[in-house]
Amino acid sequence: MNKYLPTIGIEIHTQLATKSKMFCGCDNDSKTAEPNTNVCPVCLALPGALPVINKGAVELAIKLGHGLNAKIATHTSFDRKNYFYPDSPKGYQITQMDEPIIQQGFVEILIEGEFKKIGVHHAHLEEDAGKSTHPAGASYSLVDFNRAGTPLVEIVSDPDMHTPTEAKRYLQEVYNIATTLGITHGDMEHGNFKFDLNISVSDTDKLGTRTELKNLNSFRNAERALKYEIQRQIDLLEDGEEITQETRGWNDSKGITVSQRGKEHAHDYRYFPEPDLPPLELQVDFITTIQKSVSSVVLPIIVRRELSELGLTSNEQDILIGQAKTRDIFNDTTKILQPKLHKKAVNWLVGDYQAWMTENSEAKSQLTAENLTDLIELVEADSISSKTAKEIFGEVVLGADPNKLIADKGLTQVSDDTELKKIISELITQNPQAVADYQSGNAKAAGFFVGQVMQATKGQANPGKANTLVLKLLEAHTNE
Amino acid sequence: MADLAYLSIAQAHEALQSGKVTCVELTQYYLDRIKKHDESIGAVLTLCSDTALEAAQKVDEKIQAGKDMGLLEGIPYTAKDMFLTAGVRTTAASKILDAFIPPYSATVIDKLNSAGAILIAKVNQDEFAHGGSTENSAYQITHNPWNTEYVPGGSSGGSAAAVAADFGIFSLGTDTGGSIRQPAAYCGVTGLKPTYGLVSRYGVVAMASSFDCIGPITRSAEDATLVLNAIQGRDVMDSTTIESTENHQSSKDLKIGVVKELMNDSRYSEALKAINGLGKKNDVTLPDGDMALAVYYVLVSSEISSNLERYDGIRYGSRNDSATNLEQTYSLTRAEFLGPEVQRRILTGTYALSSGYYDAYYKKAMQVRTLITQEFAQIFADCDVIVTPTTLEPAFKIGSKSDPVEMYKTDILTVSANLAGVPAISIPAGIDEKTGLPLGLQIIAAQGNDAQVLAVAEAFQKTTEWHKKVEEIIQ
Repeated sequence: MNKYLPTIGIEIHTQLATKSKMFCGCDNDSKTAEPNTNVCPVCLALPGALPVINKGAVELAIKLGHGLNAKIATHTSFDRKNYFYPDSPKGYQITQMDEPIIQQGFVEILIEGEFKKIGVHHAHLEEDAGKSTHPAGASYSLVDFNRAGTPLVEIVSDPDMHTPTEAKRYLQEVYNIATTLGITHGDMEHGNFKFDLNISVSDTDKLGTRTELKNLNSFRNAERALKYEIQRQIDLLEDGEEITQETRGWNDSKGITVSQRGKEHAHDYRYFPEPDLPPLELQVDFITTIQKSVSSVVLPIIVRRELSELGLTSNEQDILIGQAKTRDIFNDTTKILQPKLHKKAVNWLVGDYQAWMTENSEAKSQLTAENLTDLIELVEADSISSKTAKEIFGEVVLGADPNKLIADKGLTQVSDDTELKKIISELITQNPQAVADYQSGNAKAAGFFVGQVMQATKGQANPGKANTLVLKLLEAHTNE
Repeated sequence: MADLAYLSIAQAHEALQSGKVTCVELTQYYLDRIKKHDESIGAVLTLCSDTALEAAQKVDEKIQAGKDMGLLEGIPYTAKDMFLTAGVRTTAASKILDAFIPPYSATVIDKLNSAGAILIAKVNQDEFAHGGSTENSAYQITHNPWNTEYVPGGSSGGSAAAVAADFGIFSLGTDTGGSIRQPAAYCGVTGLKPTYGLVSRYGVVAMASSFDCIGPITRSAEDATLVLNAIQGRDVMDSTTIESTENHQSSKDLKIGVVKELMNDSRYSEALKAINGLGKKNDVTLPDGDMALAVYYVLVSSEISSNLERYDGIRYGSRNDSATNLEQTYSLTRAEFLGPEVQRRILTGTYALSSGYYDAYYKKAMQVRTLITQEFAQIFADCDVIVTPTTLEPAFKIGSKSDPVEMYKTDILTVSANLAGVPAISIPAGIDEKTGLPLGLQIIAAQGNDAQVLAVAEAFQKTTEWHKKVEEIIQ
């Protein structure tokens, strides 16, 4: 099956976090608005209404261009994409076809320890449509135009991805860039970040026939849908059948992709230059000023490179990149913790800390770099066991000082050889059968003694040390 | 009460200011005149008597208080039904907007309102401005006040007829390919198509966005200047608008380009003599008219097909309720409520923009449009204005042009100015002896030289009387 190479290209639609809509002054936030109340002649497409380009949307596009390592066009223009649908008030969408504002960029993703560049063909400004709902059993549909005219940037990748994981990583990376730069609120459940996946497989140099998986809004589902679709296409080819170029949707509950062709014919959108908007000429100074305003923002790729050098896995990186506060704790910790222990800090932050936040909430967290550092160093110095550290971690997250905590609770680890030796000697005397087992070659018997030591010290013994001493004393006993 | 017939803006202003007439009396004069004569003319679609008289009352209070009056204050006017007027029905002469009452007004209506002008009526036009005779109105035929057997021209035929019949002192029209100038010529009045972008299109029903111009129809160039001054200039709501420019040149060493093959027409010999007195003539050739017309109809129809997509029966306007699915809602609604010429242009434009045809039609036409614009720029390197007839013939009889292409050809001398975005005016410049109908002279200047066009027209009207002939047609 490996003879087929999948090729994936992605279109991402991200809603911009502007104050007003793309071509009118209406509020760009309709979360609490009643349907069709956040509208005006322009976004309702009344006769005579004309669009005016939102400067804020242009500025966000320029910032995004910076994050995508792309060129910003000094001459950019808008086009009409004509189609009839009730939630398309004008009967056309204003978009950018020939001269998009963002051109030729790339995004770097980390795949198996290597950074790979995924080309961004272009990204363009456009407007969202209204929202149609089709009440079950009703003889009518409803349209809410509050969303009509919401600014969007569509980011079109080159067909540079070849596995579902690459596609997922690309999506996550673009999402991280867009949210870090404040381009979008990134609320995926509310459609702030949606994507269409183009996928084909081929066993030759020529690209195969592609299908388009439309309207996904979850990284995990993107990966699942691609896995399914790649296999579906390969199976068809193996059976000697042809791939139909079509739009397919992802059925999440069944875990399959489904053809959405139905009655719809191939659309002819009759694109032509938007005559109501003169081309937008952007001054180089303006572009530079906007890009400078975000030049100090630490882009995800910078963070990722640093984390990668520390040996963090992609998943560990994702957690730190996705959680600004956690990343801050980590960054502060690396400033006071000795470098060879940085990985330990990561383990805490992506392991126990994540679990704690799932059970509680990030808002409740009082975890500081100082306390985390102390906790790691206490374990490292054998002052407390890892087990103890895990037990008190919850309190440390709530702001407790680990040193004070173990002193108050008398949790200091028993590492004193003399005391441990005394306990072990007593145990050897009390358990002749286990000693005999050990001597007859049953290695498990040693484990029994370590367990007994831990029990006797109520878990405060250093398990490694206990193990060493048990073996040493058993050997001594045997040789006596 | 003074004689109020055919007042100019300045005369009406003086009469109001001096108390010779009250604004209510003046407004009532036009309302009465409409009542008396519109039955035979058919210019008015919606009369605004109440709001007009209310506004007039306020102007009178202001005059009585001895306050200074702007020149347009208290001046009654009419507007083509393309202009959105808040609270006043606006149909674009289409059944699809039969019951449409806009919640907002066009920028130009707001500007005239703030200047104190009084809207007395919304007037007839070809449906969505598609036509050259006003016969394409979904509501009524408008008759030429000079001879009611004839069309008033179009698409701003209601406006031109209203000004000719003295239903108000001026009217607002729209000109996409000649729709102000051609009816102005047919009705013996003055019609200005300003430089593209000089007057805001916001709140004006769109025909073809890159062509549509808003301008005044008046009885003199002097009045056209006053109205243009009030409505021109950059509008934040229309991104294609430009700042108004003042580049009025003295007419002393004026260079006038004359299109010889068109002006060598005995009907224009008197007009040519008047032109001789205005400056130095030289011969020029206009961009090929047939080509301009072809390019014009490809591009205009393309933009129409897109601009009229919003009339879908979903959010406002008429809807056919017998539809059982979405596609039918569109097709039945648009088939029932859009007229045949509108449908013809939508189909033409849809075809021209379709994939596989776009390059051959729309794109090619855009390239030719650029060439025509360049040709105009070259012509204006050698002269300040060009003069041509506005139309090849005067008004034609109602019902005499059933072939749409014949109708399109009435725009052959006017469309070039729209393709190039340059200002052009039509002024009365003769009477056709055969029909007794007026003839129009078109004066064109380079982009932004609207003041030049107006200055030449005004100078022409200082030495000629044709623009006053209209005062004799209805007593």
